[in-house]
Amino acid sequence: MSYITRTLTNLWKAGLKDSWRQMNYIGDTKAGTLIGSDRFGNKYYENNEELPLRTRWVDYKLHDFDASQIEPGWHAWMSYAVDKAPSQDPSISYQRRPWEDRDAKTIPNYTLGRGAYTPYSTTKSKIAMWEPVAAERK
Amino acid sequence: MQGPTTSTTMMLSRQLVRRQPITAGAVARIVAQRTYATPSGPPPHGFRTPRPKRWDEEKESTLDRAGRFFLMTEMFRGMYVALEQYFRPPYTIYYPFEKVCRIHHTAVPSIDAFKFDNKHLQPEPTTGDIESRAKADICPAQAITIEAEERADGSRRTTRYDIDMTKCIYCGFCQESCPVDAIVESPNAEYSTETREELLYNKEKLLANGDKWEPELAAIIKADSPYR
Repeated sequence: MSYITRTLTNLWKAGLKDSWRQMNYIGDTKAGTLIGSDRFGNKYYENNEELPLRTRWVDYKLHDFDASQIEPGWHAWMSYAVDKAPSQDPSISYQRRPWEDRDAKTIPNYTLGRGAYTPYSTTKSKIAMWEPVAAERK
Repeated sequence: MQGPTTSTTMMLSRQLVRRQPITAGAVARIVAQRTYATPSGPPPHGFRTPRPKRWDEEKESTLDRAGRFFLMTEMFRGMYVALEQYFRPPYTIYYPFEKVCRIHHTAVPSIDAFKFDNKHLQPEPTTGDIESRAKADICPAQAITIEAEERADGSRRTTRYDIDMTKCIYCGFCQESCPVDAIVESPNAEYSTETREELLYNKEKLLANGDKWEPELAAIIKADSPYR
């Protein structure tokens, strides 16, 4: 939160309530126009008067925010890969594919937890294990 | 065909011989205004950094030096440089809220590739999936393992599609080598894990990645298509 006048100007523009929230989450006050929100409820803002690569940002819906909660189309916009946001460009906006759940969830990175991905083989084993069978005693 | 001509008139016409020798004044003028060293003449002024001054050659008085030392002027100059940064806009990117990553990271095979009937790419039905083999063989880090089997209808089906992300060097050769975009680099940057095991992706994991990133990948490929 360096550059005190900038912090205070953004505080004035964004308002006390939003600035308090931003200071608690982002750690910096930011003021810009709301470009849109994805289906998870994250809001996306843009202000081209900011420094390069700081012009687009996201306000996460959840308190336990994670970068994987950004929707893929908005992710492209956030990463400056496309010029138009998914709200302006229908080709990258979300369209439910027929096999998808209606309430699709984000896939967080559950590393080292119980939901963590564990690799497994997707093929049949090429060797047959010897299974010992004890012969009947006579 | 004529042999090599060495007559002076021919060479003059080809500008190979100076018509008039350069005068000494012109040489002096060129030497005076050049900023680089040549074997002719001394090096230009300021070409070499001067020798550092020794203790007995300094003009600064002992009192000046003592004042500089005790008043810590260099320290305050350094602190002023740090203070200046408070009045400049921060360059720090507040990562989960702002992102910089434009590089595409994890390789994912898109789901369409498995739906794609690549029977016509097979030279012989008994050999492995040719494009998949091409990807596995092109990988300089040997991170991709692919096994295929034959379906009942004769088309090929990939049974094993493992990418070892600890080996992957993100060169993108596999993406380049694939004619049907069966493997593409995804824009995901949040795949760091606590254990190495979690980076050994199998087919199901890669398909799940592909499901997530396919819309964005399609948009990127579409945006890139005029330049391919």
